[in-house]
Order: sequence, then structure tokens, then C-alpha cells
Amino acid sequence: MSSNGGAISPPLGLLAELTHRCPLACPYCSNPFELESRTTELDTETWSRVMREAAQMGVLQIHLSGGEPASRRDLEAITRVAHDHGLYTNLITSAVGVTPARMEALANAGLDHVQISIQDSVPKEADRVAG
Amino acid sequence: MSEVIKITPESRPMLPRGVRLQENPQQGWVLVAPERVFKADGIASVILKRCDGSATVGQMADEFATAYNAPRDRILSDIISLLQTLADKRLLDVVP
Repeated sequence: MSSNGGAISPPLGLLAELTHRCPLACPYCSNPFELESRTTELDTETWSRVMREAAQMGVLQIHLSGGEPASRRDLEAITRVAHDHGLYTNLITSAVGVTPARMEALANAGLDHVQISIQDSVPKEADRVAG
Repeated sequence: MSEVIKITPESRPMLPRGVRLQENPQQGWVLVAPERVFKADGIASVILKRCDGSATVGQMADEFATAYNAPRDRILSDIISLLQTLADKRLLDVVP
């Protein structure tokens, strides 16, 4: 831990809350619906700068989260930029509304890994949790 | 999920999709995988760079024995030991 004389080591991961918009309403979620409204979300260029600076700092992995990150129309562009900066890209999603075509586009943009939240194996119970 | 992989001198090791070896200016050589990061030391990074499915473990041992002027048997067992550990963690695959 303190091989560098007690100084804090560079971070390994960056959790990017790309949006607070989400089609679901899971009661356990710690995020508000609109901490930042759509109009004040960071744009693609700003995220690109943040990712470049993070990568230079030593960050290796970026977790694309939210809200529902797939609510962002520029998710493919953000993924590509993260990949181009050498970051390992992980998409954390409910997969609601994510079509096979969009998943293919994300894979082509350099997406490395996907985490899908599944609330329950029974539809009725899943709906009860996710709203 | 998948069958257990046994690394032998005939295995052609490769990194599976979702696992990447890369160099970072701050962290050095690292193996990045789902929710995990492994730092690769000098020897591990040399071995992992050859894990692209083109060479067998035995061929790698031949190459390194020549390049580093070291006993092949020892190199072979070191390679197998490292790669078996990674395969057990599902960070390494072999060409079928």
C-alpha cells in the first residue's frame, strides 16, 4: 500500500455516472432521478477530457454507470473515447431498451465488459423491485 | 461454466475476450479483467506478451531459454505455473 512513502497510490478505477436519468425506479437505488438534469450533464467532449486526465493519472478501468447509462445517446461515442484513452470499459446497465444492434455498436466501439442487473428470475417479482 | 483448462507444453495460450494486457505510464504492465487488475512483473509481462495464440508453451520456453540464456526446464515449469494460475482464475484461455 505505502510503497511510495505513505503517499496515496494513483486510483485504478473511475466510476462515471453519465446520467441520472433511468427508466426504472428501484427502491434500493441510492441515486436521485435528477441530481443533474439532462441539460447539465457533462457532454462527450468533457468526458473525453476527464478520461484522458484519469488515464494519465493511472486509472485503468472506467465503469460507465448512472442512472441508466444507455439513456445517453452518445454512449457509443463515450465508450470509444474511453477505449481510445486506453481505459478498460465496463458498462453497468439494466439493459432495459438496449437492442442487440446497439450492443453490437458498443462492442465495436471497444466495450470490454458488461454488467447487467437482474432483479429477479420471476417477472412479477422483478417488476415489483424495479418499478 | 467452462471446462477446467490444463496448461501443457502443447497448449497455445491466449487472452480471452474481456482480458487485456496493457502498459500504463503510472502502473507499468497490467492485466486488466472484469472488475480486476493484476500487476505483471517483468517476467510475467514477457510471458503474457507471447500469449496471442500463435506459440505453444513449449515454443515459448525454447525462445526464452535462448534469449535469456537460462535452463529450459526451469523456464518451462515457471511458464506453466504462471499460466495455470491465470487459467484457474479464468484470465487465460487456450486455442482449442
